[in-house]
Amino acid sequence: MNFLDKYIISLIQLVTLLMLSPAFTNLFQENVAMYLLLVLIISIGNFFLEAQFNRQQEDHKKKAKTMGVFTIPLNTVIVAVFVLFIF
Amino acid sequence: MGMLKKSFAMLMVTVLLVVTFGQTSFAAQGSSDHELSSEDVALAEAIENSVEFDIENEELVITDDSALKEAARDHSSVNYGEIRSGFNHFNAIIAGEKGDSTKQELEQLMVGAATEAQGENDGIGTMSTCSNALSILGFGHTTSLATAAVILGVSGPVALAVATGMGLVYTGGQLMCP
Repeated sequence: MNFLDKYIISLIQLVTLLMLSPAFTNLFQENVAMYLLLVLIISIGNFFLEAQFNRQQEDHKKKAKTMGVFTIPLNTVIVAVFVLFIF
Repeated sequence: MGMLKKSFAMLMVTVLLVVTFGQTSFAAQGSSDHELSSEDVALAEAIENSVEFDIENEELVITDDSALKEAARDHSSVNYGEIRSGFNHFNAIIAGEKGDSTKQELEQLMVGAATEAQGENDGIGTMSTCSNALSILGFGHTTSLATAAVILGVSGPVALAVATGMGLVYTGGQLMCP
């Protein structure tokens, strides 16, 4: 429960990626390895950043706001590059 | 803060537009691809090995009739007679019996197919696109994370481990490129 509390933003993004996986991989028939790579890349970055934000002992609201500004544009660009050039 | 919000909104809209139109063109490109079964491939190989194009007379000539018959027998939906009539039809078009426009269409189709096959044989375009994209993305992503780490005051083994891990993942990804 403590883990869920500490890494809620990373987990939400991870679950979103897992929910989108059947659509991106054509029901796990194409690009499965590359999609796993995408999930891994995004998750490593998210968990690393969230761990650092947790170290700063900021409250949830402020953490969510700052982390959103960092991760959402970055992760959107990563997904766009994968969709356009790799899948 | 207002400027930051505007820039963020612009970035999101641009990326979403690019992704949306990119997906549409990908779907259109994918719809023209045909899935060949193993018996189709076997028949195509048999035709390639047993038929030659006679340049002087400008017609297809069957050099190994028995191999072609055998390949046609193994195929579930095409028979030998259909293959022969296909060749005759092809030769008639090339000879100009079906009209000049039909001949030109067939020639354009052949040139297009040859160009496409050449592109597929090269394989360099796909490979370099995938690995180039991952290289540039890896550089950008790692730099962004390193910048964030500096802003948040992270240093030492944690930052080193994450940077190394990211590099490893991107390198592994490049090895997986088709």
